[in-house]
Amino acid sequence: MADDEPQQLPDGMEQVPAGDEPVEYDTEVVVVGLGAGGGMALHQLAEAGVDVIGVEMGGYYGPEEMTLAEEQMMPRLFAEGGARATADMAINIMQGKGVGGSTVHNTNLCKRLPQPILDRWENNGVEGLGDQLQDDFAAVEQMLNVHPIPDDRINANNQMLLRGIAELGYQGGGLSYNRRLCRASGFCELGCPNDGKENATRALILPALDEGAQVLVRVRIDEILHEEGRAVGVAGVALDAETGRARREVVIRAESVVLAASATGSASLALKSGLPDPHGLVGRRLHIHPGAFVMGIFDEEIEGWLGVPQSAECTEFLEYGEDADQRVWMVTGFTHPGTSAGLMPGFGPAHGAMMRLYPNVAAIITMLHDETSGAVRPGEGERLHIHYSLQQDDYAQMALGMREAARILFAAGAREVMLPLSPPRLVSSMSEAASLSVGDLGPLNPPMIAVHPMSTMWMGEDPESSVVDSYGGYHHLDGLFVADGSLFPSSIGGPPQIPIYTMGRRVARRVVDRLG
Amino acid sequence: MLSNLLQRFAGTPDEVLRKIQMGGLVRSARLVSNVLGNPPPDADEMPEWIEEILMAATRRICRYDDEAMPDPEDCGSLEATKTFMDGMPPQTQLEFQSLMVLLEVSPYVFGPVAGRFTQLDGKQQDQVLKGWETASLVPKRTGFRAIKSVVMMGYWSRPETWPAIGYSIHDNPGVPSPQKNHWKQREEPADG
Ligand SMILES: Cc1cc2nc3c(=O)[nH]c(=O)nc-3n(C[C@H](O)[C@H](O)[C@H](O)COP(=O)(O)OP(=O)(O)OC[C@H]3O[C@@H](n4cnc5c(N)ncnc54)[C@H](O)[C@@H]3O)c2cc1C
Ligand code: SF4
Repeated sequence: MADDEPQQLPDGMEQVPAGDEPVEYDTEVVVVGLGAGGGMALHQLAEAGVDVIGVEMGGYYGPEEMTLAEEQMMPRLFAEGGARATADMAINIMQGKGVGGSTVHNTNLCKRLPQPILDRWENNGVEGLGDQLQDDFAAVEQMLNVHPIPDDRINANNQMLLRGIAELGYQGGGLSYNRRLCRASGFCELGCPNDGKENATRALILPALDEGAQVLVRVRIDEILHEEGRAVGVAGVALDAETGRARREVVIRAESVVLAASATGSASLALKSGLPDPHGLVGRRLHIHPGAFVMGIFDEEIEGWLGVPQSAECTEFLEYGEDADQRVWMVTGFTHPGTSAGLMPGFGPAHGAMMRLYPNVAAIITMLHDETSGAVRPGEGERLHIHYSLQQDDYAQMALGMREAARILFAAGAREVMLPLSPPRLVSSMSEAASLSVGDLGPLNPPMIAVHPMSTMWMGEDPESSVVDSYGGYHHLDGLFVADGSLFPSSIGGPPQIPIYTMGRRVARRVVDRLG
Repeated sequence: MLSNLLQRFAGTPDEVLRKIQMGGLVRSARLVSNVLGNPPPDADEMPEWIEEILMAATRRICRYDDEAMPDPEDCGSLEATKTFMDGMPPQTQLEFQSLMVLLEVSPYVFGPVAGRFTQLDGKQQDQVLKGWETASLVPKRTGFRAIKSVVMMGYWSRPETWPAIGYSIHDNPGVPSPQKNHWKQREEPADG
């Protein structure tokens, strides 16, 4: 638990030692990035007896290393130390880094892809979205112990949401999660100290090591190697654990490459590597589910930091079709003091007075099933350029979401609601909140956070209008597969991890078939 | 020297910001550091003078006038801020330090009086920060948001600040003993 102890890695996981000479590996398949998609691909490949190496840019942290200290865990577990943002810095993009990727600090909500999304994808030329996919969902849910969240695990913050929507007659209710040993500590987004999550690390990557997979930690892949129309491996650098600086070159030769560095990382790597992309599609169509925190102040204590952080949703304003009029998904949100203080308005004594209300605050995140398309471009090292400016009809959805979040909070008994505008607007009645309109919104207004990047290397059978085929195979390079959130042809309007795990499983099956 | 700098940056505040954006945040901060005769932003070790700007900003941002909320100096806030920043990529650290440099000279362009941020009195410093927080120019607002997030993370991640808001790791039944013991050790004063 001491912060400076040398790290013990599980058998099969290694950190490349410093050195002047490049270190080389040979394998059948290399998986780049070990989050939801990569963790699943590694597991399935190892289980199928394939010689596989997984490469992860971040470190490995076991439950005993989850110190719960925000200032330590944010930089350890989040890409760019938690400072990743869109190029205009208006939207924070929170993504995981390290063995398990974003599943280490996610909040474990689980849902399958809704049928209207599958229909939309099918209309866009994706194949194989029928029974086989549902069987894959079922298999994944079993592997990860997905089950409905028991009533006694619904904390006061989530009860507030359920109370509010019941009062208003809105659609919504309890959700499912993938946990087993959870002790309801409330620290999910800083890494679980109880090994309570059935995340990619626990459910897939550690078991894959037992099946013979090898994992390299703190290796950042900077190039996909390709020769004569075929991927032949990857190259990158081993990183120093202390400084994060490059300390040795690493080359991994492989018959197939599985790209699973997330919707931002994979597209950026593909672009950096100069892969054939005759229609200039890679990195475009980025969706992120941008969200804003609407806070309610209650007379009673909510203590939202205690217990399972998220367990309920409101779907009253969530439609999925291509011409959907309402595209807002609402769940609760809560953060620990360091992060919360950044979200509370103002500074100095006024901010102090708001912080005093911290135990009495309940919060709803109003998240957009976004139609806005952004783009990812490579940056230096782990940094990326993310261009994403919300289009006007998505601002209208955000205004709708903020108004309705306020209505739910008031219906649940909030005495005041803080609309996160610039400057923030503290309202004490719904009629005041109802005056919020799209004209009040603009860049950084509200400040937004996004935790679901997707869609930068989307599936489809037509090589002119999609990046990979329906099973993740890159259209213009043999031996290269994509197995992460990049694959989604559209935003999905819900929690992406189960769909990504499921795609990882389906892509791995295709890789095994292709290896013969 | 400073007047040369101002000549170079001359124009309306909008134009100054546009020039900074075009010239690049880090390049602009290097130039300013040079003119001031101070070491430029450095990702390996934050120069002392930039640390002083950060501390000055922290003192105002976290000045709570509330007995239960300790002074940032007394609770290791700066150290925690630096731990948080050390985990960011070097370029991000450079950009954050560059923001501090621009905060230091921003009163010359945006007021309320011509002077370095660290040399203004508390009230004037608040005016500068408020100006950044509520600016109609998005880059200034995003700059403030970045400074505030980092400073707040440093201050409010310190256990000394938690009694004021009723937050506790020790009273959380879901936190296992090794983590609770770890926090007990962290909370003991360094000298005792
Ligand atoms: C705070 C938070 C809460 C969330 N809560 C939920 C939830 O409740 N339910 C849900 O369904 N989803 C949730 N998510 C989202 C979900 O976790 C992600 O959508 C999912 O994990 C993405 O899977 P992925 O495989 O695409 O990428 P990731 O899981 O992000 O994994 C990508 C991995 O690739 C690595 N990598 C990147 N570039 C390189 C490189 N060049 N070389 C080597 N490695 C590299 C990264 O370090 C990372 O570990 C949450 C996310 C966050 C941030
Ligand atoms: S709430 Fe459960 S899963 Fe989340 S950190 Fe606590 S024990 Fe782990």
